[in-house]
Amino acid sequence: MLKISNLDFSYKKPIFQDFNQSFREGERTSVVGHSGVGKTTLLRLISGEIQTSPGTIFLDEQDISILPLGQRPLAIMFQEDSLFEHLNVQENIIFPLKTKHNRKRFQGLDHEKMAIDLLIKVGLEGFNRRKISELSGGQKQRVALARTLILKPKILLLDEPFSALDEQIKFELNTLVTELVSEYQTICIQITHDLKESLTYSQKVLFLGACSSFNFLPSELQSTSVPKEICQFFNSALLEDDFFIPISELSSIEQELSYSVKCLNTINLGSFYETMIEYKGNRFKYFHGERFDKEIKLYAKTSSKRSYINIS
Amino acid sequence: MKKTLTVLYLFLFAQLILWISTPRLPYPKLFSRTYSFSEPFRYINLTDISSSFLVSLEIGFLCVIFSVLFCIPTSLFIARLTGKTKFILSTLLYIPVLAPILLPSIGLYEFMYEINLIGSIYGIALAQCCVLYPYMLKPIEGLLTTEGFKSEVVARHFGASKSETFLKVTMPRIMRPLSQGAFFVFVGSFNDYIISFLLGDFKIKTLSVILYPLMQSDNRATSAMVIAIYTIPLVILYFVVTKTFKWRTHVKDI
Repeated sequence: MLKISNLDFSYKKPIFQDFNQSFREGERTSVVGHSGVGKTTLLRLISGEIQTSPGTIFLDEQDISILPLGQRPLAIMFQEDSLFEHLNVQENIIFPLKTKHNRKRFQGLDHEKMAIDLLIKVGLEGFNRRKISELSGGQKQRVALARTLILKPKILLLDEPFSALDEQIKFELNTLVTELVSEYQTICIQITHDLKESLTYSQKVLFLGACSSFNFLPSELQSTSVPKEICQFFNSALLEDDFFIPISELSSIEQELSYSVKCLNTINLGSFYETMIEYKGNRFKYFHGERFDKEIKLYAKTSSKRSYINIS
Repeated sequence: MKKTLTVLYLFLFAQLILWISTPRLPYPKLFSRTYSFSEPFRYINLTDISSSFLVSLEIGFLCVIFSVLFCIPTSLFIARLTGKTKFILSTLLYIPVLAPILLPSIGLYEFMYEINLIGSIYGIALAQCCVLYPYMLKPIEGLLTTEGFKSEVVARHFGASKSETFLKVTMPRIMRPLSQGAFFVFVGSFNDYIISFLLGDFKIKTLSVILYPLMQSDNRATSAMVIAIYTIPLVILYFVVTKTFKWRTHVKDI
C-alpha cells in the first residue's frame, strides 16, 4: 500500500495542506480536478521529481520519500511523446534496464525476450525493430506503456497518457492498462481530464480541490456521501464533453435499438448510464437513465448546438 | 528537384573550370580560343597551398571543438531559462555575429596578446570560436527550447544518472543541430581572413591568408582557382556531414 501522510506543498500559493491519502495494489485511482489544483504536482511528489517537505510517502512501511528521483520503485508515463526518437522500439523498452540504478538488478536477464514479451502484451508483436517515427500515436503510447512495465514497478503513474488519442484507441489502451494493473498488482495513479474515463476504468476517484481532496468509488457519485460540488463538476462536464446526434434521429434510433443493436456493456455514470452499443457496424455510446428524457429536452431548448443526444 | 540542383551545381562548376582554363577574357566572345590550366599556377604554389590547407583544417577543427565545449553547456543553461533573463542573456551571447567582424577581431587581438597566444593556431582557433560560436549555439538552443527536457526527465525517472542522461538522451537529441552548427563554424573558420591575418602574426599561414591577396590580383583564372580550392572541400564536407548526421527530416516530400 502507498500511503501519503501529512503532505504540505506550495508554489506561490499552497497546493497541499496536511494531505493524507492511501492507494492499494491492483487498484487504479483517477486523480481529477480543476486545472492548477496540483494533480501533476502530486505525481511529481510521489515520483521524487519534487522533494516532499514536510510529509512522508510510505510504500509497504518503507519511507520512499527519502529516495531520490529514479530510485523509487515506480514508473511514469506522460501524455506527450516521451519516447527516445534516436532509439528503436526495443531499445526504448529496455532503456530502463540499462540505467545506472537498474543495471545490476536486471543483469543476466534476456532483455530482448523481456521486450518482445511486453510487446506481445501491448499488442505490438513484431514491432521491436521499428523506428519510433514509423509508429502512430496509439502505438507510441503502447510502447511507452511497455517501457514503464518492464521494470515491474510497484507504482505506475500515468500523467494523462491517452488524452491526445481518439476514442477507440483510448478505449483499447484503458482496457489494457486495467488488465495489466490487475495482472501485475500495481498501484496505478492516473491523472485525467476525461471524467468518463475516470468513472469507467478506475476503482477509485480522487477529486482534488483547492487545498482539499475527496475520494470516492465511481458508483458512489450520486450518493449523499459525495459533496454536491463534485457531483455538479462531474455532471456538467460529462454532459458537455460528448459528441451528439440530432434529436430528430432519436426516435428512429430508439426504434432500431430494440432489435438491431448489440449491447456491449453498461456503465453507471452516477446520474445516468452509459451503454456501449454496436449499431450498423459502428460503436456508439447510448446514454439513458432517470434523467435521460429531461436532459434531451433541456438541450433542445437551451442551445441549437446542443439539441442532440449523446453518442460517439 | 534533386536533378535540377545537380545540374545547377554542375553548371556552376563547369563555369568555374572554364574560367580557370581561360587565361584572358575573350570578350566580346563567349568562349576563348585557347585553353590552359597553367595560368593560375604562375601565382599559386602547390606546396604552400597544401601546407596552409592543413593548417586551416587544423584551426577549423580546433575551433569546432572549442565551440562544442562552450555551446553545449551554454545552450542547456539558456534553454532552461525563461522571461527577461533569457532574452537579455541570449541577446548578449548573439552580439558577436551582429557586430562587424573587424570589431571583435581587434579586441581579441589585444586579449590574445595579453595571454601570449599571438602567432599560435590555438590563439586563432580560440578567437574564431569567440566570433563564430553563435552559429552553433542557436540551433542547439532552438531545439532544446522547442522540445523541452521531457525526455531527460523520463530518463531520470527510469534511474539514469545525470551523466548517463546527458550521454544517452541529450547528446543524441542535439546531435543534428550540433552537427549543423559545427559545419557552419568550420566553414566560418575555414573562410576567415581577418582573424587569421591579425592573430597569425605572419607565422601562421592559413589558406585564406595565402589565397585572399591573389583574389585581388585582377587575374580571373587565379581567382576562379582560389574559389575552386575553397569550394570543393567544403562541398565534399557538406555531403559527408549531411549523410552522416541525417540532416533531412523524416517528413516525406509533399
